[in-house]
Amino acid sequence: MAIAVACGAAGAPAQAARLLRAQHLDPVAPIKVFFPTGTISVAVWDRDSIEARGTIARGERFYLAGDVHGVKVGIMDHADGTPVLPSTLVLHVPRRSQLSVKAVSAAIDARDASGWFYSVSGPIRLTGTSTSIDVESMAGDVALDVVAPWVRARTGGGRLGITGAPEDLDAATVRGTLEVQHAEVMRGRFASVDGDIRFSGEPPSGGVFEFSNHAGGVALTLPDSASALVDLSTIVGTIANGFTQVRPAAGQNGHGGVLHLQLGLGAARVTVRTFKGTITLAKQSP
Amino acid sequence: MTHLTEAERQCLADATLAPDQADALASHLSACAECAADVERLRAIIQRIVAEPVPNAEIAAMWPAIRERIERGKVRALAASVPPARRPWRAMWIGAGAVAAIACLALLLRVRPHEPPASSPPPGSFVPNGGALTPAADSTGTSQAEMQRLLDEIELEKAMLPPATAAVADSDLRAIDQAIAELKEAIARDPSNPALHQMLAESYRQQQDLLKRLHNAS
Repeated sequence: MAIAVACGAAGAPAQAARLLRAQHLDPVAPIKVFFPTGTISVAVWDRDSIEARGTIARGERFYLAGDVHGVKVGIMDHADGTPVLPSTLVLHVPRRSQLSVKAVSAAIDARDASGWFYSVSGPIRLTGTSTSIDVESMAGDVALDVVAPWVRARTGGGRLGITGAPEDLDAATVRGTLEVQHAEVMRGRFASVDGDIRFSGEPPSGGVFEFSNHAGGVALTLPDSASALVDLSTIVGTIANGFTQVRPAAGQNGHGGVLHLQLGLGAARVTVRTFKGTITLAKQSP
Repeated sequence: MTHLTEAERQCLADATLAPDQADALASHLSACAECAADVERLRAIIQRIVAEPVPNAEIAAMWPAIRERIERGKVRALAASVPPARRPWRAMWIGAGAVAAIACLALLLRVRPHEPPASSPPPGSFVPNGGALTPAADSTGTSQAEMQRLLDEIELEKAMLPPATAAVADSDLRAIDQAIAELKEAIARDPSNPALHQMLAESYRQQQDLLKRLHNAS
């Protein structure tokens, strides 16, 4: 087993942290990370090795176990259930490795990484270019600024913010706000139960967008140049159209509302359904 | 001094090493207090697990309430006009046997419960049909029994969580439960409204997603 001592990349803050462990790793090897509290940063590189740097809290047990075909990394939980003290970890992993990162209250920050990211209450921030991302948090906030062909994101009460270019996007919250800002999405599914959904940007030609909300509102802010077939319907909520002069029609049994619009050439497809949440369609200010 | 690896410490603690390997590592323990203390700690944990086959009392205490909830769901009240009759014992056993046979047949023939795949199909799998888009996964055909099973699993997973996390899960669950109740009420008034069924399917999907998050948190 060779210990790779990183000594070439001067100037990067991560390199200043103490080297904990390093070993060879297959380019597509799976990496399982459990990091309860503190901060964990993950970055990819084009080397056939994994490197762990950071500061482990006194009394906590760090481990990096496995072989060239796969490793497990993290801080051991306490057998008696006492809280784990916060530590700081910076991981460099092969670019194509498949990550599974699980945290409790730790903040996860990953760049150009692909895989599954989960947190109970800590924030998660993913940036860069990935092959696929599956990110969930029970109570923490999730912020995505990624370029990826496929992204699935879930939060409970936390905020879910998305930008970048997730081509196929499946995003949902239970009570948290779901905000999509100028993201280059081709096919998007956005849902919430009680949180508000806010979408601003231009649906691309051929794009398919579906919004579903039970009690939270759905606010679409589109540019004047938007080209889309827009179907808005709410069972008992209200529809506010600030984009055109067309007024929504009453829904079935006189409750709720329905509005069908063609913007421009109708090149994209946008469907919004709520049970009682307010639907708002507005024009982006120039 | 080079310490033993995690794997070596664990193998020493649970005595799964070959004798010659164990001897070689044991000599390190005699010279390294840190590794020796850790191996002792691991041995103590293993002995506690082996010595206590009885399930955790707190978890065991939850089962009666969960089972009672399941059993309650099986009971159907008889119509008021049907007088309760005392059945002869033989007829009861024949009836019970018939119910059991029907239940076995139902189990053999039941459709697999809908579960999202490990990597859910991207939204691009939607197939426009000229009208509103209908994802293939939308279905409210889930049986009452399967829903109850899901709810019971959620309760069990919540019970394994720390109180703060369970409180968050409770809030999420209440929001989803309320949405499902309101949608069911609306469907009862307007059963032919496809949008309501689609929204109900979405709420059930949220419930399944919550169960998955709870499972990962425990």
